[in-house]
Amino acid sequence: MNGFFQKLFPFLALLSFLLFIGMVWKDYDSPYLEYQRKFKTMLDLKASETGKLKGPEFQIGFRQRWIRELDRADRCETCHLGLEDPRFKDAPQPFTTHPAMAEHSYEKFGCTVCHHGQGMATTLKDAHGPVENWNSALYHDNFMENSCSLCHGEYVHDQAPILFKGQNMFYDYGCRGCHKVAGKPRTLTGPPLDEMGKRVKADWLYRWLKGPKDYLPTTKMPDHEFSEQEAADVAAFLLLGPGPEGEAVSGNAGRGKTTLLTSRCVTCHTLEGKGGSTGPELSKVSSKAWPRTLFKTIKDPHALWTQSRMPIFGFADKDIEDIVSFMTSDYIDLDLDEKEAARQIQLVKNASPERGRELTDKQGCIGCHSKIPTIKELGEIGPDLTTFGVVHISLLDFGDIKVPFKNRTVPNWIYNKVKSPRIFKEGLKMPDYHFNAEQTSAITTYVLGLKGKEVPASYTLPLGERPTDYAPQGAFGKILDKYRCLVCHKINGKGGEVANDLSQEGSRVRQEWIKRFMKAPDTIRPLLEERMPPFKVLDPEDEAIYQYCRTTLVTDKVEDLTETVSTMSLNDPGIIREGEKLYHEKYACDACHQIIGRGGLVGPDFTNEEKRLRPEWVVYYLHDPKAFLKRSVEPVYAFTDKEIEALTAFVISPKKQ
Amino acid sequence: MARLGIMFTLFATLSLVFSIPAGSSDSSSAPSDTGANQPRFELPQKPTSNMTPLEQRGANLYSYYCTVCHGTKGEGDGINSFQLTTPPAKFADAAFMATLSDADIQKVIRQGGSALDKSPQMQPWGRVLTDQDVAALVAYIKTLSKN
Repeated sequence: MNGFFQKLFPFLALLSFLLFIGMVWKDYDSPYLEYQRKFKTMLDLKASETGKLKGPEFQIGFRQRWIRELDRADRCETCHLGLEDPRFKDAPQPFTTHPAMAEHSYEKFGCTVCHHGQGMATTLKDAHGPVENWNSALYHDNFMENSCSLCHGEYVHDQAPILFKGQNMFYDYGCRGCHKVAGKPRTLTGPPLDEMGKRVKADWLYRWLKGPKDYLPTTKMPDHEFSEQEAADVAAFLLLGPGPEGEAVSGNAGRGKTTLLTSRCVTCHTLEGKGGSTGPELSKVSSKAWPRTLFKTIKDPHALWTQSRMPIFGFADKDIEDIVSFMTSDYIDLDLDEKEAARQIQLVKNASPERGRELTDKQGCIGCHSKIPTIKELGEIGPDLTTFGVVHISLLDFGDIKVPFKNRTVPNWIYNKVKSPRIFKEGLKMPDYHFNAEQTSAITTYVLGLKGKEVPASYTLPLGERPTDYAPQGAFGKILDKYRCLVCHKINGKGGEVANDLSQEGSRVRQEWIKRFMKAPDTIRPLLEERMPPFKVLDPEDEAIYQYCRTTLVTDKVEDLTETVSTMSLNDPGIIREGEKLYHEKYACDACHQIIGRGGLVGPDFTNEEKRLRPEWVVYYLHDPKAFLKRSVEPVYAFTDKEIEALTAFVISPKKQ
Repeated sequence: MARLGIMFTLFATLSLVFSIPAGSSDSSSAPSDTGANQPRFELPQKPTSNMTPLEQRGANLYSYYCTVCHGTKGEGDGINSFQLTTPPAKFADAAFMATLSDADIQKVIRQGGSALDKSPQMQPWGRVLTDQDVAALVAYIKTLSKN
């Protein structure tokens, strides 16, 4: 035995020596050196193009940037040598110039804080990942925007549209109902589920639970993948209690149709393929809801669901009965097989409400829906996502699915989990939202951004407008609540984007106009599909709206112009004619604005502006349209004061045929 | 001597083991193949776009400011075009586009139609759009006649 080792010894010694040399050589000739030599040649080439013999001094060697505030040491520049040099814009990787480096200098941010990856590695594979037991593979292009939220906050609308979309979806689809995210409010997104027996039909509820998107493709209700029996059980549980109050409502369907069509319901609801998406599509609603429920919903939607976005129109009972009888006869599901519906009703009748209750409890329906009888709200049932964006890959279970190592990354896991929630394990609670690839990417981006970390103040730069907590009290507050004005309009930074911002309405329009418009809203912008519905506004409400507009929704920038305007000769026919000439000839305002049927459809119709706009406003707006609305599609001119006077005079003058 | 031999053998083997880069343990490449109803593991796909970032930016601006008259495909058939006394320029018309230089297009976008003795109904956007916006728009508009 001894002799054997003695004979082997020289060979082993030689082998160790060779390995030793090999290691030294390997370190000496790292792959990054190859890139650096290439880069040096490129630098010399660029220099020769400008007539110089040699490029600037180039030091071969390691490059590292230590960003102490962000706790990062990035060596990416060792290979990505041209990232700050604009001459390498079209050079191949790894030398390409990084776009838009002005705002995000390499010196201040490094690379990995946005891109992820292993900053200290210097080989292609280790730096870009994935690396075993090292969490951070480079982010996929789709998810890059997740890093923006670290410094820029959650309201980056334009610069990080995917992240912003993901964030909105996270709340709108009720993710927050089951998943806790520290510091983010929990929102109930679904309607309350009490007295369901009074409200909806048994066969509809069964079909709804089985596949919500079959009835309403745009719904946010996910598919819980219930079996027939499970769906019937849950339906039976929810339908416990009193049944429908009367099967029909007596009314004049013909009159109802007229009322419905003239009430601009299509501003929010899609009817016969046309209309808005604020409310649900209604063409099959009578196969869902009992007539008394439709009646109650139209009369006072807020009594049934306090968060409902539907306004209280103020119809008389008789009108609502007419509308409901029209809906009962016309808005039915023509594809519904009656035999199948009867079978479904029977299925629900024979089902077990106890088992339904168990399932309702287990699935966490209470995360989105309030008032489920006998079910207690015990907080979020899903995993806490506060720091899920930096979860360690070893904590994520890929189940039995064979995924090649290079694809085992946190973003890929989240993406697939969101896309098909039960992919990694059968029988999980998370329902399927049937998101498409784009929606899934958006949600994944948002979840990756949940890092539970804060950066030093010198790095934070919140972008975008954060919604305010504007909530007026008193009579006007009640009116906003009753008509749900903020679903479409924005006031002082809170509300929707469907209609005009009303923050400066009092400075903008005349008193008589507000009153007339509230009673009988006409068309101001011909191109819009969404239009102000004709609410039955009461006289005291009218007065309160005007008072509030005139006292609170004003801006000094307009009010201060009163003196300037008083010196203008706005009634002078000569000046009006001058304005008309400017309007039609020099500035061609008629490209976008209409007067008595002539002109474009883009901006407001100017036919009756003498009744609508205050002259101070017109002067203010002509000076700088963007001061009122940043996104307005209005060019900015440099009018002279004389031109502004003339144009104002013309715009607010009575127009003749 | 024998002990030394064993030490060297160990050393050599160890260095061999550590010097070989750790091979990937998951060599299987095919995603899950468990039945047709089973969801498949998918890799997120990059949104396919054959536009450069500049053209993409131009496309976004175009759809916001221009389509209403010039039409979504630059056929001059936007919804507002029928209200105009002079029909809007057709960017999809290659022969017409050949008569315009980049500078011409930029000038009209910035200063309006009257800058090139065309209809003033084309409005001046120079105070609304940045230089980069205008460059992006020109880049995008020029792609419309290339199909």
